[in-house]
Amino acid sequence: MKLIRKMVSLGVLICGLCSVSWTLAADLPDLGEPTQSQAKASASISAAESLKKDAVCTKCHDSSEMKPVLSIYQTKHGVKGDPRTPSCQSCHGASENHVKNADGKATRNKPDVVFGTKRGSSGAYPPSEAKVQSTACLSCHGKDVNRTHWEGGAHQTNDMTCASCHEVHTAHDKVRDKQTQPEVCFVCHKEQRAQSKKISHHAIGEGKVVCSDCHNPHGSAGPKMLKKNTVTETCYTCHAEKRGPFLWEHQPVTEDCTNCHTPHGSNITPLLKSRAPFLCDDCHDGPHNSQAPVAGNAGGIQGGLTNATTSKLANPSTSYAGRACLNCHVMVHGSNSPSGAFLHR
Amino acid sequence: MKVKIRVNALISVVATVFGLSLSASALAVDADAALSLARQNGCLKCHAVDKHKDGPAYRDVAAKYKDKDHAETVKKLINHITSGEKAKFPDGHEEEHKIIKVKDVAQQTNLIEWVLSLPGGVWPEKD
Repeated sequence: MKLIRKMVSLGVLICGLCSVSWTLAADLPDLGEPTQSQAKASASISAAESLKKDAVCTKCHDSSEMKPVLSIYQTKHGVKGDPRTPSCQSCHGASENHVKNADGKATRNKPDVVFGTKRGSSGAYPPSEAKVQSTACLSCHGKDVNRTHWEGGAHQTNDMTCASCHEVHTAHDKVRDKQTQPEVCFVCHKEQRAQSKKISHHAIGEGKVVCSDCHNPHGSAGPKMLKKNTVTETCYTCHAEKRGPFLWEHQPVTEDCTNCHTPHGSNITPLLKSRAPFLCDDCHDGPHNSQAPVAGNAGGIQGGLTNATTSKLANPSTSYAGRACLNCHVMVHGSNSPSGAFLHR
Repeated sequence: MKVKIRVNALISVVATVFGLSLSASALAVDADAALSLARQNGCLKCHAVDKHKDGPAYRDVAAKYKDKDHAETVKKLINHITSGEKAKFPDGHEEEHKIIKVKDVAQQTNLIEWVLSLPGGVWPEKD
């Protein structure tokens, strides 16, 4: 009898739970969550509205323009199915004075926001102030954490605008393509272009490494607009084997890679600022400390020509040829060998 | 029989002369230069070759002046693009017509001649 009572009460409990969950499920649409079809419908409405706004501009600015303005529909900015994408007015402003031309003059008033640079603008109107242009872009793109440091960055303080590098209306924005990005940067950074052509270089010309692999052109907290906070941190993103930690560290390595290397190119492999032993001499300018000198003439200034005992002419040691100091101090970035104090192994 | 041959020969001669004169007039107009000039001066913001925008389609302009005195028409239209006279828009308001930047009369004439050479237009405009 007890068993029957228990079974009945259990059945009632299950039925109750089922009815509650069914009621909740039935209530779901009322919570305001859009269904898939509703979302599609609202997207198509916003797309239609956006295209209607665009039509105010595309009535005149169509495929006949000198610059292909309609190509924006081949870019992410032109994906009308996405309600976040802008209409012409989102970037260029409502520009009512331009559209209505109430004065009736042959040359219309300029739109609210004209993009371009003083150097690169080929349009009928002079470009708007850099701040005005950037504000238009950052109204959407400012939310990205990579652009947090735009204000105060070297590009912003030099009155550059987004349009200085980016081409928004073209399907192929050169600065966003690995193969063509350096061309855009090198327009201003000519010294770096020259360096990238030297014998030892990052594979920039080969299209394997681009400026934005190391730099954040939109501003950063690090030096030289580097992506990371320090030079070493930036270099270690690729050259991880140099990071350590090492049992025996070489202090300049942990300090700053540019103590010895020049990142954009050098005629001394691998991207060295100067040739060893002279490079090493910049810091290690005392007598060679080794108990077993690299050669008979190793005393005195390291790398110096000190063979004055046998000849009045100074002869360089063969040990200093080629990789010089690096012939023996091979682990120059740091060693984990217990006996690697002198970075020999 | 001889008369028939002569008539055929006459027809072929007339056709050849007519064809040559047509091709000569077509050669006289540099369509690429005219289109490029129109594009550079922003003419195509309000006009198009074959569709009505704020201004009439160029081929419809050609249809409008088809039966009028050619020299007078060219003169009138050059004045239209160089004087800044008022142009009426579809919504009724008026604006000064844009003045073409090029001062070379030969280029201006080439543009007008190209517009007037466009076939297939109707006047009054359909759309």
